[in-house]
Amino acid sequence: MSMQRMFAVMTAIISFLGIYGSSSLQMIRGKNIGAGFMPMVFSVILLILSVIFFLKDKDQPRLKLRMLFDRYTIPGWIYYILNFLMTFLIYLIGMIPAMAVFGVTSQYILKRQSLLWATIFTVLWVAALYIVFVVLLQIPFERGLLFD
Amino acid sequence: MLDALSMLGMGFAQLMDPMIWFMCLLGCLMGTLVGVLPGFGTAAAIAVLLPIVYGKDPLTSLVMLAGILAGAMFGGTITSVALNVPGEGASVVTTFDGYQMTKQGRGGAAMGIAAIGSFIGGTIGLILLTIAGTPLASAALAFGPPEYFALYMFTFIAILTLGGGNSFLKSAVSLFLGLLISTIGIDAMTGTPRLTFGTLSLQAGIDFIPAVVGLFGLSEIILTLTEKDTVVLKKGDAKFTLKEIFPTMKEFIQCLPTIIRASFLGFFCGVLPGVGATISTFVSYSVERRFAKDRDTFGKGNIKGVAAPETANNACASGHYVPLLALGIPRSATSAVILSAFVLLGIQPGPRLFAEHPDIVWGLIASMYIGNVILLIMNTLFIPFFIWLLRLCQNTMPFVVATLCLIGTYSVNYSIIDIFVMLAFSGIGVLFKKLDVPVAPLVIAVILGNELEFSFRQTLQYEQGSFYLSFMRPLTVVLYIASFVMLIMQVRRSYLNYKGKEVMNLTSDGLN
Repeated sequence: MSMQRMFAVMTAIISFLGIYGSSSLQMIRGKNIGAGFMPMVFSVILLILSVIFFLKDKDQPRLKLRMLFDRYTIPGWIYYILNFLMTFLIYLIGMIPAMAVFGVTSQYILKRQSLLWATIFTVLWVAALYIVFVVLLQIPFERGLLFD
Repeated sequence: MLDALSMLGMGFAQLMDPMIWFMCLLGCLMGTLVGVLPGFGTAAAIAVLLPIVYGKDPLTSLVMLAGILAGAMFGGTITSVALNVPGEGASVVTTFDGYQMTKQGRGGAAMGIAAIGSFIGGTIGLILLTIAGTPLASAALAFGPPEYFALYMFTFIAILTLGGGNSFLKSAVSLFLGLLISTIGIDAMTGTPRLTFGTLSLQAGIDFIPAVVGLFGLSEIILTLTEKDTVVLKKGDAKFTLKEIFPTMKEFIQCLPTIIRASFLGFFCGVLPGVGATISTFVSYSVERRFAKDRDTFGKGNIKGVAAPETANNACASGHYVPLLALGIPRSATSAVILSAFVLLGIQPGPRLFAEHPDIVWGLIASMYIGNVILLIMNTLFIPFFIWLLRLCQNTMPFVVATLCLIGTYSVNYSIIDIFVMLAFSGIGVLFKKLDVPVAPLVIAVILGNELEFSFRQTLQYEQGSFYLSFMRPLTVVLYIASFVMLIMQVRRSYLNYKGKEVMNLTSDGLN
């Protein structure tokens, strides 16, 4: 299946969820529309568009695994996963340590910096963020489960 | 005209606060940096900074965001001229002659004329915006619920046309996906939870901030990391002395008619539906080339070939504000993000904006004049500094952007769930961009979806269940006819593209 068709299938599934979710809601309410009317209309139109999209792109090449994980796309994947890991770390150890860990690892793993420069820049940047957000803008940073 | 001047005077009076000047300067600086950095667009920059302005003074925040938009247009020139790499889509045409001038040792003059042209273009665009503002404010009083619904329909159809003939279907999928997402959460009219599937955290609905930051900000950096041809600026690249940056008086006089023509052309391209800054640069360049006596030198380092596109894209940026402020219709991905900034600050752009918030609108317009002066100084005197900064920052960008996206998203509701939503949307953004599906319709639909539904319900209530009565109102009829004509033209263009016939494809810049 091509990437376009997979996308069409995904949007079709979302539209089915929309139809399923709105079918139990009120469609008409007196002389006005009910809560389920608009989600139903949007879902049905999205489903029709997904079907057209699926049928239109019949000549697209099939998606192969190596297209998703070649040497150009892997840094993107690593960066995306690191962002998720940072968010989990924020939950566990708080925002500042998580950002420090993320800063050093992301810059080092993506082979963009030496470990020393990555550490120096991370420290400076996290300090700048702390001053701007916590001190000046009074935004309380997440402290994490372990330190709270 | 006198009304416009007095309102503009009131706008300037709003700028007495030194904080506004500082934010204007900061916005211009950040915008120039964004324009300089290849692969990180204006929309992404504004999206990343959007949560930071949450809860702040609306005028101060909008002044900063407008500064970023204008600065990016100025800054895109630097890499186009020096490295043959356009930082923005709207800077592509500048590379044709700008880079040739650099190779001939006249890169400094190219940058200088670009900065001067950008200043004049931006200022003429602002004057036209000032003149257009007052009649729009008086027209606003005729708007009731049926007109608003017709206007939202017009907006959504205009958004579908932004992607051009090739991506009409993709834009439609993106739009309806966004509309469906906007219905998630408790229905404001009936209090019924919709599409939450029993999940409590979905009852508040999907906030548009994580969506905007994820779709425009983080996804942009992920895509930059996967690019095959990454530009690396080395030591010694693109060095200019301050003396080289100013064009000669002869060159300036030679370019002046070009700059004036491109200013008007750019502004009208900005106002027209479906025509963005990129198209305005191509149009102005072709016009200059067609009518120039020295047309053979275009593409070989003609200074007018730099002045025309650079002037047009700045005038176009001013033109984008007309439909955005007066009708609430964004013309590009960047103006879609600016629209979300307005909504975030509790201001709804649209017909009543000029009447309800004249201080903010005219303050914003006045600040753009000041921003233009700041940018002229910045982009003539500090070019060597920007090139030095570009060299320094190019490797640390992914980390810097990720932390800003995360903290920015978190700071709106102090919620880690919002960060996960932002990360999910950034994945969607990458997928959309890989498949060439425009992101802007989804974002605009998430922001305006509830307004569309609300105005439809109000119309039904207003007309006591008889929707056809809204067709008796002249303004709604005009809007419906305009929407219908636009839709038919777009369907025809898509059909011709599908059949493989050649058709001029006026795609908007930066829609992705």
